[in-house]
Amino acid sequence: MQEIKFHGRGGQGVVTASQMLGLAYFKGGMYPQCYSLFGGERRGAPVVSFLRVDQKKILLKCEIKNPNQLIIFDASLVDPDEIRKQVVPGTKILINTSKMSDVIERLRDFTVGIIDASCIAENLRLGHVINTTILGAYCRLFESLSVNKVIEAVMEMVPAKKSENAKAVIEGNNRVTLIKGRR
Amino acid sequence: MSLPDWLNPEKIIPISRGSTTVFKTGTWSGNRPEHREKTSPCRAACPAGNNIPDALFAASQGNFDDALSAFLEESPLPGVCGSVCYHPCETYCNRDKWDGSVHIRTLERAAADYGNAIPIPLANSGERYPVAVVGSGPAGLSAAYHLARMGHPVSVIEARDEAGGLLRFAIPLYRLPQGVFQKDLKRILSLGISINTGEKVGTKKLEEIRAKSSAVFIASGAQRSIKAEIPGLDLEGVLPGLDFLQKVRRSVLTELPGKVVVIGGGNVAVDAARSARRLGADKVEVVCLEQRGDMPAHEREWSDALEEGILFHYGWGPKRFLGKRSRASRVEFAGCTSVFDSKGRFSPSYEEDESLMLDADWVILAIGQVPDISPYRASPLAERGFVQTDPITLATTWEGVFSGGDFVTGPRSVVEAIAAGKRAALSIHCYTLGKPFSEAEERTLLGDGPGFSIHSFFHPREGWDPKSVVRFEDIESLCLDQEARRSLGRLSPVERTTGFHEVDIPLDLREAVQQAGRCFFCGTCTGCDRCFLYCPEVSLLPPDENCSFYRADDAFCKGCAVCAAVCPRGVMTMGEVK
Amino acid sequence: MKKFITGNHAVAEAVRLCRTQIVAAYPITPQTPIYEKLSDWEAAGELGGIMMRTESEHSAMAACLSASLAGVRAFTATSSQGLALMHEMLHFASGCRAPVVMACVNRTLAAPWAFWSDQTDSLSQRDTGWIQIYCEDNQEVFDSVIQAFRIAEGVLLPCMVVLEANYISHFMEPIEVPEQEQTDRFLPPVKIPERFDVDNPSFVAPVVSQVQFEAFRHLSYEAMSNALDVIEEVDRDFGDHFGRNYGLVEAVGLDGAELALVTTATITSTARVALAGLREKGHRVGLVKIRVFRPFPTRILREILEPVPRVAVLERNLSLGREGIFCSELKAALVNSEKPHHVQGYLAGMGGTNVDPDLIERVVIDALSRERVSDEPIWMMEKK
Repeated sequence: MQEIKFHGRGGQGVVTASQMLGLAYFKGGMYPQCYSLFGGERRGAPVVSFLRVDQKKILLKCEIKNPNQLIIFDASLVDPDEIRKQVVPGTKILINTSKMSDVIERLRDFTVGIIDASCIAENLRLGHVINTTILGAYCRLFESLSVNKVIEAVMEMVPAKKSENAKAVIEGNNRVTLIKGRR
Repeated sequence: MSLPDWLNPEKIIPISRGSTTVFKTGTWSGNRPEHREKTSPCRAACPAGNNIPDALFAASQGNFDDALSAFLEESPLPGVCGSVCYHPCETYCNRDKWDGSVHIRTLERAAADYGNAIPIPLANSGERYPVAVVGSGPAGLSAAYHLARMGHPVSVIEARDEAGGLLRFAIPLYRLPQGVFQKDLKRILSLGISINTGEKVGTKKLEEIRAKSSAVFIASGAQRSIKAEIPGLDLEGVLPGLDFLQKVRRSVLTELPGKVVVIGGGNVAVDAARSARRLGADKVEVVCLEQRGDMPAHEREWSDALEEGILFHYGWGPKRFLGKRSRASRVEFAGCTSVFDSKGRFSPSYEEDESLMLDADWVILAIGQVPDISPYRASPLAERGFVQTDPITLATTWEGVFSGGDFVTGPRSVVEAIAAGKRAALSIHCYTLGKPFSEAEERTLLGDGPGFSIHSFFHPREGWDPKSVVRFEDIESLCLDQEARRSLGRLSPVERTTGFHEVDIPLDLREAVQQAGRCFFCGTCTGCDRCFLYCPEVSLLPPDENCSFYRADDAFCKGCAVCAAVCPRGVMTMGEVK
Repeated sequence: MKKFITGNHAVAEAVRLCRTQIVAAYPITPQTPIYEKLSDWEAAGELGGIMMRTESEHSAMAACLSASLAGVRAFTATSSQGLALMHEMLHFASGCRAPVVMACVNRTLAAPWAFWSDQTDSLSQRDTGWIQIYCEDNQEVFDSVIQAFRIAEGVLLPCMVVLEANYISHFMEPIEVPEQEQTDRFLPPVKIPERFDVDNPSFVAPVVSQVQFEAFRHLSYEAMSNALDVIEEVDRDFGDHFGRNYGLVEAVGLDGAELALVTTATITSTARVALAGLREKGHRVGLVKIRVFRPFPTRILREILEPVPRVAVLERNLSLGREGIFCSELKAALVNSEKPHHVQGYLAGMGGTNVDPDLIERVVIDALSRERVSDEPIWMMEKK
């Protein structure tokens, strides 16, 4: 079972990202289970979203405490100590940042996918909504889901700018940088 | 298949198909609502006692004939009052406490403009007594009108060549267009009143008239301009205020070149100043004894005058008129320190050191008007140097002679003159029948008086308590909309001063209906059915062929007072079982 | 067809498939998405019935009750404070024998103010005369709403389907949503007494005497007692139509068990995982899920727990001054058993805190090793 945790801020499309990824897995015949925790539903506030994926029905009705996949929408939310407390051996981290060297330094233990999703989304006129770019990068890093399934889910769920979002998935998938960690 | 009891629809919940009409709940209560119409505060405040709620309700329904008819119940001059009245009704309007009073005066004018109605006759005893009326100003016309409605033959004697008194010869056209007054006058005369114009009345003539009539009403007004003992009074160009206004109305004066100084702080002074402005005077200045706040002129007239470029000097009294070759050229004023003495009597005191000198080609002296009782010098009327009347019956000390209006009180308003005429009419009616007037008045007094309803004396209104006045607290405000009082159309100061066009633009028909709809119709049932609809016992019966008002069904009314609480206009009132 | 949706969305799907004629409701977190989804469909002309946006939950229930008395299929949804405000009308609905169906999303009752799962709101309505069904996942919520209409209309009592805040309301999971025709075959068009007949006017629920009141209460009691059979029958028939059924209670692995862990709602689902692990490690522990709380399935609980000496009740609610409410109810149900049981209450997940397999394992180990049963509930507190 994959346990995926999303960290981000209100307005970046974190909740929708987890739901779209869940839908993509669902379309791929898997059993996903997705939920989110909100501090306050407003832009800029930290948001955490969760997704479990398994081949059979998931019975757990509790929180994900030790994710084996971590997706970070905002590098300012990265606290290596906090991450070390949560993750299990082999956890991979996908992170949105424009300062690659900084992240590599701080997360040198982990296998990390680095994507400048904010830049890609901005160029596609998607503003702060970087979720579709992130999902494209996700497919490359975790290799458990095809880009086409993600695009299918994106087309079904995004309310506007469908073609821009589809492009964002592909861009994200192409432009993610993978760095193998020591752990 | 038979259902078990616990599933049987007829058994699982209580359902009553009987009727609760077997419970005569009405017999358990000592309280009962009563349909008790009351007097609206506007009507109570109107000296003429105008039936404003009925008139405005008809207007709100677009029925201006009935609106006019309602106004005609109490007053012969709706067009005049609708144009010039100082409208105490609007001051007391309950809507003033909500979002601004209703435009009552302007709506009275709209009723006169758009409605056609014949005054409702006042039922009479069948006995007809000839009555003579001296003077055809508002008081005289009002008395003649109501007496004629009662069926009495009325003859009016008018000293001038035309009827109307100050309505015809004093009030400027920009306040009262001639057509409006003429329409009112024509309606009054249509009642069969004869007017003998150009006939002056003195003691001897009065005796003659008295002999031929059952009663006489003298309403000669207050037409003598006060002439102060001021040096230079006979200079050419010095005019008494009323004479000036009359000359303007008769088109004797059609232009007034040069500088004009008007002396006086009352409405005649302001009328004179504004008329002078319209006659093309270069400069018009008003000089009065009073300070700004104490001027007797109405606020609105004063501010209109200011807008029209008239200058005011407060706290000055005329000292002398100076002339060149027998024509006035300047006026000198002394500073006035107080207008009244310690006992409140008119007795100005001056600071002689202070003086004001104004250039004047024309001086209009409008420092007051008084009744002229000189024609009656040798009669009981003039015994005391003024006409003394009983304030209730308006009877003078001379048997069979009644008097009222400005002739008794000195200058007052048009509506007060109309009120005096109405009072005289009912008083004379009672006198001719040998019945006490005080009882008649008592029955129809509006609120605390002095206004009363002459119409309801002859046509009693069932279920109406005229003495009870609706307060704002009696209005059910939950059903009220907010629709603030709008300011109405007026000519701009420039448009006004190019001629004698009416300053206030009358309402158009659609606007009149809309403005009338703002009326709460305080105390008057409009048949809105709220009491009927809200009665939880369905025991409040609406009017039908047997009964003209809402009433409780005694068998079922619990006396809960919901009907009284929801009545928007304070009509439904809780009382006790009779 | 399978859909990947939240529990709230599942409720809305069921309400639409049941051809509900009127939905009268007022928004409240975490129920609001039900209201919003139904409103969206109404706006798009896809609801079938009508939405009535009332000014309060009290009015919402008054509207549902009245509609139901008019013979109409009525639904509402609420939570927490909204349910508390509705309380008076809940009695009215059951007393009028109106088969209204409600989805209640369990949420903490203030104070303090919070939004997360806690069963005390619905359990506080225990004595209102409503049937109550507690669900453990999205599919069961969806299925139970459909069953609820048939149950309620079958016994003429209102029925509450209870789902937890967050763990169901906002959890997205795949569920099976049947076709309209399939649902129609299971749930026939509404046919309940129509109380408002203009040709035969009547006053519904007038004042009654003491004796009459007692008689009506007795009939309601009989209806609620008979509801146990009706719920089972409807559930069996549901299984025939859709291949899923749930029972009044569910027992897992009780054969030879030394301990029965009794749970409700989502804790049950997680406990299935925890107990499977414990049994693999050799612990003789079985699971009992109480699904229907009113009417309380006393007889069946006594039967299945008869051979099990120890019982632990783990729950997310509290009656202050006593213990968890299911624990009290279960103790009362077992009191006339042949052999006495040791029943230990545990409180966890209060205010929506996390109940994971670790916590459940600790409860089981404690219950198995405990020498003396405490009359007080044991708090399994989250740290912080």
